[in-house]
Amino acid sequence: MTKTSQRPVPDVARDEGSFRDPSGFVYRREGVLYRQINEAYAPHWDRLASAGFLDELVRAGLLIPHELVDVGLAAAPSPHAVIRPTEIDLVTYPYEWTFGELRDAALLTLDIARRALAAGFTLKDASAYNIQFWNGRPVLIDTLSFEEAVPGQPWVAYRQYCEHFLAPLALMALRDVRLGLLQRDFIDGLPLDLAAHLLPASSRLNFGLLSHLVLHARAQKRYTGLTTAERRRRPRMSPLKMAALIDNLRSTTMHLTWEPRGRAWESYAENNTYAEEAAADKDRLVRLALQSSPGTVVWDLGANTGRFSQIAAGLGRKVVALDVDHAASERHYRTIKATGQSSVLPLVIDVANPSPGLGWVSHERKSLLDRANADVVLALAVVHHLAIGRNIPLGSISELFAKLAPEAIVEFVPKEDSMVQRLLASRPDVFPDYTLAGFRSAFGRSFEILSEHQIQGSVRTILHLRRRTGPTNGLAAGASYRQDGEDGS
Amino acid sequence: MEHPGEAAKSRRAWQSQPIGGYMYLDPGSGSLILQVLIASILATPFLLRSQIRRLVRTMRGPERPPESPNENES
Repeated sequence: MTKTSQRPVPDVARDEGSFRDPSGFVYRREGVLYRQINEAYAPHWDRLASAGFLDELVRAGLLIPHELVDVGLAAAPSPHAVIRPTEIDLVTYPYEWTFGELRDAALLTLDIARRALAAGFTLKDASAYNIQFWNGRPVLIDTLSFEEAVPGQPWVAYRQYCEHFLAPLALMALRDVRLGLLQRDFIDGLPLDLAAHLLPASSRLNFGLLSHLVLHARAQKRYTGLTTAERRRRPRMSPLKMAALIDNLRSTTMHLTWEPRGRAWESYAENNTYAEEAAADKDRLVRLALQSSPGTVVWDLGANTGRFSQIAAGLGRKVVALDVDHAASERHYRTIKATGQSSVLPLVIDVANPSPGLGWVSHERKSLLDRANADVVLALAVVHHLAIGRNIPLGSISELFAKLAPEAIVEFVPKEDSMVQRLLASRPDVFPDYTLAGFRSAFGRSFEILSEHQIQGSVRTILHLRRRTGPTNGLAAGASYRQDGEDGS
Repeated sequence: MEHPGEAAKSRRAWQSQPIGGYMYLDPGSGSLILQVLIASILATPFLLRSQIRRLVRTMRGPERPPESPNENES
């Protein structure tokens, strides 16, 4: 490999979430994503390459593929090599995943750790941010997560695995699935003392949870007072013990389960007031609108268990299926996993409170809106929940949709509809503008109406909207996503 | 004037604090020590299990290795 010294050049944008690891970093050059491997990582990189370990992981579908490119494409001094990783369509974060997605990401991490151990390497990071969903499956995106194993050294990423995976999964499974949102506040992993405090007492009866979380938290507290010299004396551990540890983490993680049960929206698709005729007509209208809309990426807001996401996927679109209800998104994820569907990614996201920018200067983990890559927004039976359920003005909803994508396919559900009546039953009707005419006028500021059809056998309307161009719409130009944010890169 | 006993108590309290306080607390040491302890407990049963598994495998013929979440319904 030729080594050149390269000065940073203006067309290079270093990823804002990629700064923690001295091994290398991620950047864009003329829009293309690269990862520089620094001189400091050279021995590990060359050893990984000669052992063919990375290729083995890529072949098994566990690691994002990459190609080696000219080292002259480096973005900073002292490059050892440069790779061009395959890009992920949309970078997502563990606090946006369903329980099943986080659990699969956890099991993937352990599987990779086990394979690394067998090949004479060690997985040095077990960050949930290093896992992304690609073609419907979790993959490791941080190619530089490995080092040559040092004989006798314990697993350095053990604590991170417990904080990033085991603790949130245990809380979600045994206490409340909404505790997954704690990951949003603790982006370096859940403090184990907090997890131990929140876990039900019965979790102490499980050897894995007792040791990896509860006793682990106590050990952290107990040994904080060690002197620097004592800290440097690292305890030793054989490969057999490490294999046993990883095996136990795996079985502990496998035993954490959560069943989505009958909550508000879960059975909504089946139980709402749609007559069969209206449902079929809605499918037809949505399909028609999608067929006439450009682009490849559809964001299905309020996707529920994915009826319309599946229609979009059937038309060859890549779909990001967002729903505020964890049970609905989890069911959706299980469906796509069971059917081998690779183009839909269900996420748990409240459209009225999308993920903010987090971490260092609030850019380490990007806000959902900064990552918006949609060509079309699908918002079916969702506007009335925002407008009436959450008191968000129609004009503001329109602005959000216009920020997300250049086109929107929106269902307007009028007050006469029994579902809106249900929303209004317990509150005064302070929504005089909530009419189809009011909708047209509010959305008309950002969008032009391409088509408008009433769904047969119902009072609802499907509107296909295109964002107005020009400076008056006051909208962010289609923000591009970035493959970023992993720890240790 | 401060009671001498009180002064000693507060000095002890001060000394028991890690220098610099919270920011120098290192949860890593505890993690490493505990990890080695747990792994030592797990090693023997793990070894036994894998040997039994290997025995069963040789009796039954080849079996698939433990799979990743990508390959199976976990």
